[in-house]
Amino acid sequence: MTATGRVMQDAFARVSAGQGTLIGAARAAQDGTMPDLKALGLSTTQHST
Amino acid sequence: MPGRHSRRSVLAAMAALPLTGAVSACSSKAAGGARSTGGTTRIAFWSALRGSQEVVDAFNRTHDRIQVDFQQIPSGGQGGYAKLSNAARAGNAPDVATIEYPQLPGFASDGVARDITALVGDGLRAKLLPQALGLTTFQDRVYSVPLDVEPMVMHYRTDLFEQYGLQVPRTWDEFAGLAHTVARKAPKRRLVLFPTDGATQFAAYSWQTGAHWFDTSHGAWNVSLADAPTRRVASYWQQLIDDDAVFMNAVDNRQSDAQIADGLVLTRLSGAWDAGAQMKARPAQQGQWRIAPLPQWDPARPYVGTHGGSTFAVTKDSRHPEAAMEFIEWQVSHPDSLRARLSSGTSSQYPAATALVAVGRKAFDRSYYGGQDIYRLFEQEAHKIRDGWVWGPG
Repeated sequence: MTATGRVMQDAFARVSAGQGTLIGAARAAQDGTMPDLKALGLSTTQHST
Repeated sequence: MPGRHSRRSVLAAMAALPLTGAVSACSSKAAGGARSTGGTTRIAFWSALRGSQEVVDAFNRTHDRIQVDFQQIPSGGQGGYAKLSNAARAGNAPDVATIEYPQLPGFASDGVARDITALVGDGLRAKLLPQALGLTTFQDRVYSVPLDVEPMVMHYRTDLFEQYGLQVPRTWDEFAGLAHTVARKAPKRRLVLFPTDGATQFAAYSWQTGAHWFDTSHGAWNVSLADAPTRRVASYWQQLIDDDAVFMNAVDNRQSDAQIADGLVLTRLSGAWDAGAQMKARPAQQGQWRIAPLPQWDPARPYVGTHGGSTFAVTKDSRHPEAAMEFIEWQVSHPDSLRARLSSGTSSQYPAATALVAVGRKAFDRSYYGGQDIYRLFEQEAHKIRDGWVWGPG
C-alpha cells in the first residue's frame, strides 16, 4: 500500500488546496498503483466500479 | 474496464519461496546473523517498535536454546522498510522483522516475507483474533503473525461536548450533523480533522463501508479503489470539506498537534493505540477525553476497519525459521512479553492474542480517561472488524 497511499495523499493535499475531489484522489491512487503491480510482475485486473 | 496482465500470478509470486527449515540443523552462520553455536540458536530481529529491547531481554532470560540479537531500526516510513528491502536484496535480512499490515503484501510479493503457513500451528491460530490473522493470510497462505490489531474508535473531548451540549454520535448522519453544529457554535473549532496524510484512515472508512480495494480471487490482484462503498465515503467527507465543517490538513505535523493541544478539534478518529499516544503527548489533558465506538452507517449492522497495528514476519534469509517462529509466538502471546513491552512506557495497543487483553487492561492507568475501561470498548469493537479486507502490494 506504500505507493498507493503516497499517490492518494498527494491528491488529498491538492484537495485541501481546492484542487480536485476525494473520489478523484482514489481514482488517481488506482491509476498510480497499476504500474507498480505490473513492475512486480503480478497478474492484475482493475475495475472502475 | 478490466485489463489483464499475467506475467506472474499472485500465487506464483507469493508461493515462490519454500520453507527452508531443513537447512537450520546444519547451518553455522546464516545470512542476517543467525547462528547455531553449542546447542544455542541465535536469531536476528529488527524492529522499530518501542519496548522491543525489553521483550527480547525477557525472552533471552527465559530461554536457553534460542537467543535473540535485537537491532532497533527506524520506523518503516523513516527508512526502516528501505533498510529491510536492501538487506533482503543483499541476502542478509534478519530472521524476524516487524512489518505493518498495509506493507505486508508488498513484502510477501517481493519474497522478503516468507510463507510461514506450515509453521503456524493450530495452538497459535487459536490464540489470535481471527480477523487479525485474516489480514496476514492471502489465499490461505500465512505471511506474518499479528502482534496487535487496532479497531477504529472515536476519541472525543468530553468536556467540550458537555460545554456545547453535544451528544456522542452513533451514526455517520449524526456525526455530519454534529460537524455542522460545532462549526456554527464554535467557529474556530471543528468536530474532526480529515487528514491529508491519512490514506490508511480513508482506507479504514472505506473498509468499514464494505469496500474491497484489493482482492486476490481468480489468481490475480484485482484493484478497485473507487468502488461503490469508497465513493459513498468520499462523497460523505467531500460534503463536509466543501461545507467547511471539518479541518483538512496533515495529522503528522505541528498544525495538527496545536489543533489538539488547543482544543480546536473535538474528536480524533483513529485506532485503539492512539489512546496511549494521546496520554504521552498531552498529559495536561487528563480527564478531558473519552472513547466511543466509531459512528456507523447502520447501527444494526456495525462494522469497523482498523488503523495501525504490526505483525512479525520470518524473512526469506532466515536459516532458522522454526526458532524464529518460536520467538514470534512467545512475543505475540506470552503475558511476560506484553508486560515487558509495557514496561517501556504507556501503551494502549490492542493485542491480537485475545488472552493478552486482560494483561493490557490491568496495566493501563484509566485515570486519563476518567476511569473508563477502554479495553472493554476495544474488545467490543475488535469483534466488529469487517472480514474480507486485503491490503495491496503496491
